[in-house]
Amino acid sequence: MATLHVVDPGLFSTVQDAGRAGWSWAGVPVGGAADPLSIRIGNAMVGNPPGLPAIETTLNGGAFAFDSTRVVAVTGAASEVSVTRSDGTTFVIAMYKPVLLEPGSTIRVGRALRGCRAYVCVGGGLAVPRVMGSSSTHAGARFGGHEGRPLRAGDRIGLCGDEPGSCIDPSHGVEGLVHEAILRRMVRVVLAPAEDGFDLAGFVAPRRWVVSARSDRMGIRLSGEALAAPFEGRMPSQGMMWGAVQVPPGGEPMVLLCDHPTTGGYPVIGCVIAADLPAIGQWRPGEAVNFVSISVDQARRALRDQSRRFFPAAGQGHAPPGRGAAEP
Amino acid sequence: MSRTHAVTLIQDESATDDCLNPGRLARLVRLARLARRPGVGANPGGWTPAVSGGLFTTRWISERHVLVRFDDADERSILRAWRAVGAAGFAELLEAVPGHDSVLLAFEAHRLGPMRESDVNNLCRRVMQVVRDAMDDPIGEPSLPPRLVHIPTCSCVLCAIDLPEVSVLTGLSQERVMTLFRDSMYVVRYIGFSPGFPYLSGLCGNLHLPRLAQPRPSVPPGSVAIAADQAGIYPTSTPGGWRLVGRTPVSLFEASSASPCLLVPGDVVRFTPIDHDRFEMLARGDA
Repeated sequence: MATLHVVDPGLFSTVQDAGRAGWSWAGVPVGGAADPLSIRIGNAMVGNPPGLPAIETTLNGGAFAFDSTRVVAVTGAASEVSVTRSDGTTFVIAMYKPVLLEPGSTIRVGRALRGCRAYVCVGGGLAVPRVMGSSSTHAGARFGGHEGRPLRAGDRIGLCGDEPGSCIDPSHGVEGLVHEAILRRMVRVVLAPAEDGFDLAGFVAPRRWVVSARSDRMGIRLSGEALAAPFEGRMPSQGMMWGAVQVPPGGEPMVLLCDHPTTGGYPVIGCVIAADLPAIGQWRPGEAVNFVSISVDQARRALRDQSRRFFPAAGQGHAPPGRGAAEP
Repeated sequence: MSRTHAVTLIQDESATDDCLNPGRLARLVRLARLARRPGVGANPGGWTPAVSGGLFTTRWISERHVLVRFDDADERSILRAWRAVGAAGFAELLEAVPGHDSVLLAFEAHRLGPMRESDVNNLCRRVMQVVRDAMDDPIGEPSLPPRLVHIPTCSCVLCAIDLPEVSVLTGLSQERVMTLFRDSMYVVRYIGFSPGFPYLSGLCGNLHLPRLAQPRPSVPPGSVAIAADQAGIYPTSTPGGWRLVGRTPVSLFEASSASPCLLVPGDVVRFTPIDHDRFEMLARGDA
């Protein structure tokens, strides 16, 4: 079987796909790629259907070698990408452009210059078992992906099929459009009803929140001038969502990402819109970010516009491949 | 730890006081797992159908999430609403998550995008109608009696790390604490925190204590714990701030299993005592 060999896993690289929706009732978040737009675009460029697993790197990329001819595309965080052939020659390749690699080639994703997470999408997809309907890695609970853990140097991951995949060149200028969508530092939120008494205006004011280094795939901690909380302590636990803005007692908000706990007791003052979930998945520590409030109607229109821009044929957004288990 | 233990252990527990014999109950539990739907088995206490319709609100809290919030946190209403919404067949519905006094519904954002605003608002109204019908129709309840699941629990000095402190803080002997703990019937209200972690209501009032001031960085898997008016079970080793009063060899979450989560909201749970030798034996898998 053709394999991908992990030469350098970088800081934190995992196998991710479109996630496992339908299991939140059991404490299992949807997971999948933290930037669902970039992985879908990368899969499309190598001729894969949406939802096939790819490698998600974090901040400093990684290096992956191939023992067969494969089409590979790198999307997501703006990074320098190079290919070293078996004869030792190295050349730089463009992101957002599929490339046909010869056997023995190594693709290296460099440090992210802007954004946080890059996606290495391979023609045919990675041969990783599906657990609970998805190949995505839940590193916290140690299941899914490659042996339920982040990749290590020396790991070998099988590749599906014998075909290298197809080079589907994107339309001109797609990189700029994707970056516009995923490298937003001002993201749109739908605010909760004001009755809870939080300083919602203060939250969305053109102030600067800074992404804390204590951020991961579960959530982004923001530091900045604390929001005045009208009360101490916790609320009754309720279901949580990807994009929810929670305010712990300290007053510095947390924005939940795809591996978030499925229930929580901190007040939720709003939710990042679906069209901007890719952008919060690309926020990096130290970055200054802020929020702007829009209506639910505008939020739905924003996703519709984004879907039409990137997937005019599909007519759909970056949806999960299946409905998952419809429990209850 | 192995899932098969849950079934074996139920058969082993001669202390069951329900009307089903343990072997049949075990089989029913297994069938329920396979069918992955709540409601096979028996509850010795018997839930009477809720009488009150219950007051609740239903609204969009983002462009893709509806929150059904109940004025009082009556678990029967919440769980009935959760089941009803899940069974109602909303094509756009991705997730339904019960909480302490609410049910969160997540819809597929890309399917809402092309819908007219009036249709989206109508979706929220349809959710409200489904919940209202579920509240008004106690007839549906007997077809879904809660399952009874026995969780064998060792409360030796090694497993019940916080039992001495609980004893001091409550002014009850350790034996009395464990008796009160085991005598209660618990209901799985919701699952969260980590995959498979059940939040259980029904903890005896004498055992209500705050969380630990300083959470542990790592709690042993299978730890049975209490905090405030709730009990819970840590399926895997995670950080945790609840007080540990025992440990079970039963595996609560196995991602690769056909039914990964042992417990389902609405299940009735009892903790049955085992000694440490038995715990070790079951944990090794040679029951």
